[in-house]
Amino acid sequence: MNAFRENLFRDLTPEIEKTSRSWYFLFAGFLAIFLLGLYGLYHQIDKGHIVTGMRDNVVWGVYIVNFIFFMGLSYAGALVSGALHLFKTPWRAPVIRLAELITVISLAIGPFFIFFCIGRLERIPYLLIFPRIQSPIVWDVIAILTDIFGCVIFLYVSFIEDFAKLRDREDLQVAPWKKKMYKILAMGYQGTEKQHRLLSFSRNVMAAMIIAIAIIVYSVLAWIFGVTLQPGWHSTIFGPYFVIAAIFSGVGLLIVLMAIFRKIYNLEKYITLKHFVNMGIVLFVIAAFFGYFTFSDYLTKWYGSVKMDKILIDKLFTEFRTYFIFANYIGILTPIIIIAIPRLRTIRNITIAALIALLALWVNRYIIIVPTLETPFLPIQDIRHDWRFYSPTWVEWSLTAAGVAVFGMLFMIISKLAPIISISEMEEAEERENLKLKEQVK
Amino acid sequence: MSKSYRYSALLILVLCWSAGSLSAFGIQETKISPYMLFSYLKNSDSQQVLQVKMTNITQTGEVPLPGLSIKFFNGENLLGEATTDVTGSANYTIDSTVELLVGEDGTWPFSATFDGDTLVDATYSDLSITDVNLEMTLSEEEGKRSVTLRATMPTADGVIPVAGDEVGVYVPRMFSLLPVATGVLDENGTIQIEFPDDIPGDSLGNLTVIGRFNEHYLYGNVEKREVRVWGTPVVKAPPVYRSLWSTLAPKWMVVTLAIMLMGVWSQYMLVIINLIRIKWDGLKKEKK
Repeated sequence: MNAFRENLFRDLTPEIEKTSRSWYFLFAGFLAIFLLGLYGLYHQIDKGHIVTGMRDNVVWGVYIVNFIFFMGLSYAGALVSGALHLFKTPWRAPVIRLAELITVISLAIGPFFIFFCIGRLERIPYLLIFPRIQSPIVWDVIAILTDIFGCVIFLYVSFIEDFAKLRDREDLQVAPWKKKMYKILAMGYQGTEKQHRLLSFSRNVMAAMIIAIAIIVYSVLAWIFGVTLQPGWHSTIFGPYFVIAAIFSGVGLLIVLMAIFRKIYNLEKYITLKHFVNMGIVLFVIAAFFGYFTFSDYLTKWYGSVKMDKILIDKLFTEFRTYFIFANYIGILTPIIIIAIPRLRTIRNITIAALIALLALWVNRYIIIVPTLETPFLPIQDIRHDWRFYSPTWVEWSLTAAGVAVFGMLFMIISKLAPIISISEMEEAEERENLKLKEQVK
Repeated sequence: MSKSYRYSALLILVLCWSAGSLSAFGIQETKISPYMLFSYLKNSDSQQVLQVKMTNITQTGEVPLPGLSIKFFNGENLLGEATTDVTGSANYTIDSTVELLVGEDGTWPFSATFDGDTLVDATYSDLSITDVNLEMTLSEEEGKRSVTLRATMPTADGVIPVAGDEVGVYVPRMFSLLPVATGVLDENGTIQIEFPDDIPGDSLGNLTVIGRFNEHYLYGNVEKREVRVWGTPVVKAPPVYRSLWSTLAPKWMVVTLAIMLMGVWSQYMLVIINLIRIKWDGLKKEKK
């Protein structure tokens, strides 16, 4: 066991102890993209929202697409990590930390896109000062605030054992401030029976809570659309549909991150084909559900043939057909085909399928928001062509890229502070394996 | 090259094709080709009104085009100008003292033009109108209501009846005129139409009865209006109360939200208390 622990530390802590040149290069790249986004934001604040593609009809554009997308990733991370922990999935150890990090980092980024979308930021406090409980927007604010607290607590609780291990590691070559930080964050955890019991109980409680919260919060987000009498949005299945879509994109991102960290931190020994196949099967099941929900939603709208729904569906199959095909055919069928055929289940293929699913989900959000807003019940009185249609500008793209860059930067920073694979989970997994072997020998 | 590599390459190609298509975010800007609806109305006061409605036909319906200057002509003579309002309509009432030019066929040639601007293309429409007079008499005998319409036409030989053309009786509704009945004028240019007694009026039963040549190919719109208590009084339904629009949220919503928040935050507190207990236990062990 000690040898296993030594190997674990040797393999999982180098990125904490020293920083490679490639790390700096990659970080600088992300930073440059982030600065471009900051310039875009400055330009938007200086000139106003006229520098975006949003106008009278399409008042929600790429910003809201990104908000929903990042929030979806967060909820999916919460659902996956909570479920893996709660159901004691045997192969969870190397992937659970990544899922937990996706939850918190996406949740930290997503709401910023709301701020970019709002023209009068100084009015935001009114949401809290004069809340109207009957408004789904207020539900969303309450839900997201609750979710942020829950996810941070869940992440922290899952980190405590690793912080204690890093604190107790005398040969760890890190700066004194890091040692001090580990000591504070370990909360005096010594691994006593009582502490272990309390920590396990807390983790179980939080795992269950964040699954419930993720479902509720993303449903609330879906209801912002669902309770609106807009063609394409006013749907009873939007709540579960959004939750499934969120898990789909989140599992996709998790697989992509597994491939990236496996490669750059040489974690081939810990993140194996088995993990990719298992996550791939989850992606397969969710893709099938997502396809079913998508078909069901569009079929009922098409069959009902309500004038505006019909116009919207015509728009999706003409003007937006490329997006529609990518989001709802390629994005769903690619993971299903790759996972369904055993000989295609390679790490590379599963990662490509996950990446396609991830991009498809972003496009899916785009075609949920933009075509509907371009199809209002009451035609706009203005005659200007570009006020009826939406086309994102460089400002919106720069802030979108900045969001992705911040996601990367936060992941890189956290990987410098704590192991990207949970050491305590790995040890527990090893103990379970040893116990199983002993029982088999008996 | 292994099969999995080939499949991967194929998938990448599919992805690139999709991504290439995605770049087509740009939207081409074009000038609006307006639709001009030009009509003639001789109203109850025998005023002659030239009416234009300018719209842009889009996928979602007709979009009115306001602020466009429309010129109205009688033959080559400019009668006047009018600007379209927010509904895209421009009306021009012909001065009764103006002597209108009569074409070779005995009709008045009218036209309306829009010269175009930077956003909207120029357009033109014309129509020829034959003058007719319409008289309407409303009567009620033994509970039976009837509308008598008589149409005559001034000619060089004097006034002659208009025979064989269709006229109708209408009542105004929210968006358009509701046809009550239509019929063909007899050889005396007359028709009597029975008026039903079950048409909703206002709260007092007032109803505007309209006798009208409606979009007639020769006469345009010619009408006479009269208000009578011929409708059934309509009592306004009390407004539907929807609590979501009130200042206070429905009780069920507040209670549900409170229970959910209390449930979640109590669990958070429980975990935070556990963390404090872990800290205390660690401190105790350190002291030992």
